[in-house]
Amino acid sequence: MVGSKWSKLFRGNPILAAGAGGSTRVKRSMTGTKSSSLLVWLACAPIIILSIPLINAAGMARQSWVVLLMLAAVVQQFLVPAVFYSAVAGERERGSWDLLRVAPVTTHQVLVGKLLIGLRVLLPWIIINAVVVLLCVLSQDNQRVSYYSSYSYSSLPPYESPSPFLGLGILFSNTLAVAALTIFFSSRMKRPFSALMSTYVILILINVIVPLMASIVAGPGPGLGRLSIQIGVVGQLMELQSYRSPEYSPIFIGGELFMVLSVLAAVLLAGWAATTLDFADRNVKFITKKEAK
Amino acid sequence: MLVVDNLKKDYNGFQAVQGISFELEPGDVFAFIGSNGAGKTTTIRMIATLLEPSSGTASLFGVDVTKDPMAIRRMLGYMPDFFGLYDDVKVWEYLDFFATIYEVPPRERRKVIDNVLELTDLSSKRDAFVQSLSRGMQQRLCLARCLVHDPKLLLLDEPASGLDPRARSELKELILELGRMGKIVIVSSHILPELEGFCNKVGIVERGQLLSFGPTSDLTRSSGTTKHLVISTLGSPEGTLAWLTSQPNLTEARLNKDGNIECSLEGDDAAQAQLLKSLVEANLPIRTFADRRIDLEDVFFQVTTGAVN
Repeated sequence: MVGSKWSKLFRGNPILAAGAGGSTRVKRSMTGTKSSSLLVWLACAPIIILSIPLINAAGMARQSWVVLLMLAAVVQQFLVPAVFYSAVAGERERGSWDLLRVAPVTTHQVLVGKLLIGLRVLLPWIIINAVVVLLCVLSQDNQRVSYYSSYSYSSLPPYESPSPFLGLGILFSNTLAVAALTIFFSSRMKRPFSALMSTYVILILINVIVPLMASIVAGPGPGLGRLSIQIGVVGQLMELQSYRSPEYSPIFIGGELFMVLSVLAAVLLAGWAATTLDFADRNVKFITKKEAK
Repeated sequence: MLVVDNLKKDYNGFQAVQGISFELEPGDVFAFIGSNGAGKTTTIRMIATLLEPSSGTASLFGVDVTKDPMAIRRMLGYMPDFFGLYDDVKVWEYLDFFATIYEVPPRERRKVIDNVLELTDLSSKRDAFVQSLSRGMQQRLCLARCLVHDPKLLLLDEPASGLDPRARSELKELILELGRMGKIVIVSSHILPELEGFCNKVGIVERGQLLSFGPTSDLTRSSGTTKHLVISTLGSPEGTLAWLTSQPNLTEARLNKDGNIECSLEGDDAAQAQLLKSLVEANLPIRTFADRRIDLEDVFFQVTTGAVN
């Protein structure tokens, strides 16, 4: 029964089949942004440009891949919402949402389909980040590469960051969480622009405002301030960089936990969005006798 | 067949639809008439599984809309009063997308798309971008989308609004053809002349209630108790009108723009014959004395009061 449900969401999902089998134009229409592919390539540009001197530095830059990942994390906070913001709100604004709702698909299938098609649009971004970070790692000395590939916190020498695979995992789990957050707002709002702005506000809150306020309240040093920094992906990567350094937070929540929490948040947000999508009733506004008086 | 039984929809104590019931057979083209806010769209959306009825049922070939909405969705094509077209997509891509969603087998998809394009006369626009089509063509494309999965019921909400006379005429032909194909077609509209001539059943709704339902021919025929007449005279129409207004059983008499007299007579065929006899005996030079054909608009104004939700 459960297996059948999951199968309907993924393998037997007609929305996914329509998006995957359709042309690039159909995929773009499904995610809602005409220029989403262009946006993805524009976002990749600074990563590629920055990677060239870092790869050439060949071991000079101790944690060059972390720098790249942090830049990617910042760019991602703008890119992913720009790909997904119109996914549902755009359908509603265009008037095509009802056409999907009268089709034999559930709202869960529509949301999962849109999420996965959008991630497919983001595939160049994911691949380029992975390739560039790995090239950076490979350009460093052999000993460091062997440490990185061991993927263990304890085997690393002091002041050395954990595996770049962990960094990439943090980045890509955040891609999923931000995508789900954007789709959540898109499904709750009538106007795509409102969905985009709401997502940006939340991301700025998580990545900037909350850590800043917590640092001011808690003061410098390890504690609440350092913990709140790790809620955002940029802060999480910063903490990853300072692993085992004197400034390293004693309450580091850890990259793995961050990834798990991100995926969990994505599932919860997408599920919540799907269960609240059915608000056609609220689209029809009638003036009650009480209001008329 | 489609059976709608005492369908109701409440919004926070406000009854938008108040117990609508009707039955339609395959091949029926049903005109669902009402003013804006009368409850047409709400009823259609309940049948389309977009709204949950507060009470009552609607079933299509024995399948209840609330109990098995997915099975209903596979049997119906819904065209809302807006196009809902994706931009930057070609006509065939748009249809292919919906054919995939409706699980048309991949091997049959191309043939199905070609067939619906031919039926809607859009074959030459197969590779055109959706936004480049005229309004009439976009409307036909919407209809083509509704047909990709060969539905048994078509719900068309204000299909001809905003179309030019030619596009409207082409749409009428297409809807007639769909009826001939054995589909149940429900066409909602408040523009009555556009429904004239191609719907075999009519329902008039006002304030969420179905005031009148039946075959178009029955509704547009003068009823047994009221006769609608047109009288032309060689003499002064005003004099004839004055004589008529003094007659008992004549509820309404007026001059129309052609200078003829239109009147309504309470009574049966015998009363009509008696009136003609009286006119002749009064030495009024009557040139013609005929039943006035009433159209849907007349029926609508007779049945409704003009009240809106």
